[in-house]
Amino acid sequence: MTLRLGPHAYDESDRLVMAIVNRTPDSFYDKGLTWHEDAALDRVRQVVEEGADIVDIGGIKAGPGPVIDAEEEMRRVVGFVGRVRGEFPGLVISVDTWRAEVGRAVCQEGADLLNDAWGGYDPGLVDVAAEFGVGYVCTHTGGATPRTRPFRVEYADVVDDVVASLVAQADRAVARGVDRSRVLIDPAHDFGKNSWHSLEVTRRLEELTSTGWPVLVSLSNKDFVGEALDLPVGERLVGTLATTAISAWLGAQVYRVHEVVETRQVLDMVATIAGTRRPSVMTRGLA
Amino acid sequence: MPVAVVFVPSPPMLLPEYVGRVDPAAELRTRCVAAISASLGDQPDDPEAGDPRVVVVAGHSATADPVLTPLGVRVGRHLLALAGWDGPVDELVVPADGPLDEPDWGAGVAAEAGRHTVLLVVGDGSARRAEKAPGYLDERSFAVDETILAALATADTAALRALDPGICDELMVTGRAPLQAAAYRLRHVDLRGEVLWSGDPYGVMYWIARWRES
Repeated sequence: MTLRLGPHAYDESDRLVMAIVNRTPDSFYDKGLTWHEDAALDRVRQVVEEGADIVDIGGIKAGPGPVIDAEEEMRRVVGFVGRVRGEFPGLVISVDTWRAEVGRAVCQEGADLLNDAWGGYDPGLVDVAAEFGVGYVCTHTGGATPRTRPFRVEYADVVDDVVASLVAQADRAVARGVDRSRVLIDPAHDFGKNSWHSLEVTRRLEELTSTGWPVLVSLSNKDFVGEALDLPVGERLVGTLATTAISAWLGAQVYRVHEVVETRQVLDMVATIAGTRRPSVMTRGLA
Repeated sequence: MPVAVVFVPSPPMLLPEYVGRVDPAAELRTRCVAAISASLGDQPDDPEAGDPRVVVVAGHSATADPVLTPLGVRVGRHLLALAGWDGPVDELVVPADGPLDEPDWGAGVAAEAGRHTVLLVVGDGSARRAEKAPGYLDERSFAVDETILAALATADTAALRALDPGICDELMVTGRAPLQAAAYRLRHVDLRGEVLWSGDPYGVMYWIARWRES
């Protein structure tokens, strides 16, 4: 199925890098590195230069912390989306939010994709995507409330739950008027899941990719990588990239990441092995 | 019968199935095709003569996979197609591993007196011209390649026939056998030669040359 984002159309075999751009002072990985708007804009310029296909702009850290109301969230992201749109007319801009009113405001500034990272917590957000003709990311959280950590969550079969939930959300999005070619599904590693769950979702990712909906994965430096290897934030890149390679092999199409260059290389390498991407320069043994 | 000869190299990277996103042999391929096109277009004035007969001359090593068409034939046919040649192509494949007896060109190739013939001789010089070369550096390769280039430039068939198969094998001069086949075939023809280009970008000696009847 062709995936459309903004003015672009992507083949099933394309692998897209979605670079995280935090407009937060407290996100777990960068800890406020791009809190200031100019620093965030520099980050956008950098990731575009590095080959990112999409930027995912977020105004609220995923984990618990000080309450950020819609007004403050909008202060953080709406104007910024407009600045990015002004400087990069063709760049796919995603906004990570669970709130319909924020979604509406960023779409008016030119956002192309609403990344509903809390799984439809605000049922109005999907209607905003439909109204503006933008893309929509369905996310599995197991019904978690935004910004909560999993506590003793159990599933009879986590992948069955993920697939059922995501397919239902995607169908609902289309039913509410979102363009079918602009809907993605994200199993949301670590969201409403312990690390056993996230590892199993990764292992059985083909059960998601075989639904036909384009799959987005957000693996970057997450706790399930850290717990698998007993490594703190800051030392999880290799584990992230290994997970990226496996996910790419199993067909995930979009990768929400902190490290663009490394991810791009892994995705290109996997696609080259898979035979969906031509290798770059071939001379060994061929002179 | 009028004869034109074109000499081209045979790195597999000339073939589309071996090319990645970057085409490192693009310029080499263009040069080869230009030389072939020129020779194909070099028709005799006699309109009765018709299309030229085209013969690809290539070597074939006993160590190559017998299932595959010899590399030189594949490269020659591909370059001919790029040069716009859609007529029949004859092949003369000669054993590349030892001394070459005078090859049997076949009745058809030899007999058609008066018909313009283009020989496309596909083969390379030494693959041991640099430390990074496929066969590592052997300083002797330079002298042998110079001998061949000089013979190509002057259409010296005797010099090509005199190439030592043993030394050439050691130096990975994979084009020795087809060169000698052409030299045997043309040893009584008065020819002038011209080396259009030569180079060794990967430590392998490539040349593009033309011979025409004087």
